Amino acid sequence: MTELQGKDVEFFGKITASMTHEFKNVLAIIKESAGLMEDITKIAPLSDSRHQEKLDNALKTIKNQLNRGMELSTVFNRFAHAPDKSIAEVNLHQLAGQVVKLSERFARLKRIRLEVAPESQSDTSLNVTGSLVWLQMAVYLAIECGLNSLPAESVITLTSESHEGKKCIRVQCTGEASDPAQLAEAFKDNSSWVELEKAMQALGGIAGWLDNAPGVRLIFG
Amino acid sequence: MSNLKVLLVDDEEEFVSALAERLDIRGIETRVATDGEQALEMIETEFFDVVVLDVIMPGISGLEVLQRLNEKKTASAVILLTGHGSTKEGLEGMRMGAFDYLMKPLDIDELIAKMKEAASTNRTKQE
Repeated sequence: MTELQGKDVEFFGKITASMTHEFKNVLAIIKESAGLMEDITKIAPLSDSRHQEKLDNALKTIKNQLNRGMELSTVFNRFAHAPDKSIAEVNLHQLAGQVVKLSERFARLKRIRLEVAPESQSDTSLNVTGSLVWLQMAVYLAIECGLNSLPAESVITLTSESHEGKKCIRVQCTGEASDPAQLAEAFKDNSSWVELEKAMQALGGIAGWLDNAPGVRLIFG
Repeated sequence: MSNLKVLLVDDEEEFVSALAERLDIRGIETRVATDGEQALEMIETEFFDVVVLDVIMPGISGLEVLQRLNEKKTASAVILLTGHGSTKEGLEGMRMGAFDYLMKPLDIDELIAKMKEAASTNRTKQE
């Protein structure tokens, strides 16, 4: 990445982060206003119970969507702050969780489910150092290979793990297309695969196939 | 709980006015300021058990208000409000003497619990 391209990413991140702060302010106002409506209806319920029930349901929907908006805003804000430091330390389990959240809409459109396996007790300190933008991009590209290669109703599970002394994210696919060799061919037909290999190389790691399982292992070293 | 007198300081007027109404409903006497200058003027003339202060505001920032309250040795406890990316300022504020910081959007029950805890700790310190 040239210095100018680096500045592009930095600028993009700075503006996006600022907008997510504004978005959070909007959510805070909606939350307090909806909360005030709820408080008032508790003090003085509507005389028609059917109307009260409809109002309660509408307030419940607002609350649920606020929680969804807050979660999206948090993930997006973290993503926007990624270019703040050229090199940062990140926990692989948290990295997997962050990228899964960012990719969920793409997966939903393909009717594929994304999961993050619980962190194993022996692998709680799997931290790697590198560009947060590139680390997120590498994990995303591995997911994208899966989304482009798998049929609907498949599941892609990301697991942070230590493999042969290396820190890794295992991207395992389950579902109808579960033959490892066929899936590897499908992955390699993706333009995302070439980009993934480049990203892993830039990070000083490699993308390798899982042993006897459909999917790929991102080895960060 | 009704003994608590609180000043909310945030430049988002709709946010503080709705929050103030909710606290009033719960028996907490609440006043509102929409910038740091207004907050400092109000604190000159009135005592507040707790000042809930947004960290990022146009004009005087929340941390500057906190600094001035420290210089004047104001007895109010301070709780800071921060966003996702301003946790650093929240921690800095605690080093400067703020009781704690909370992230927006708020949970009203958590805010009230924190305000009561801050006021009680502050009273014990004053004694």
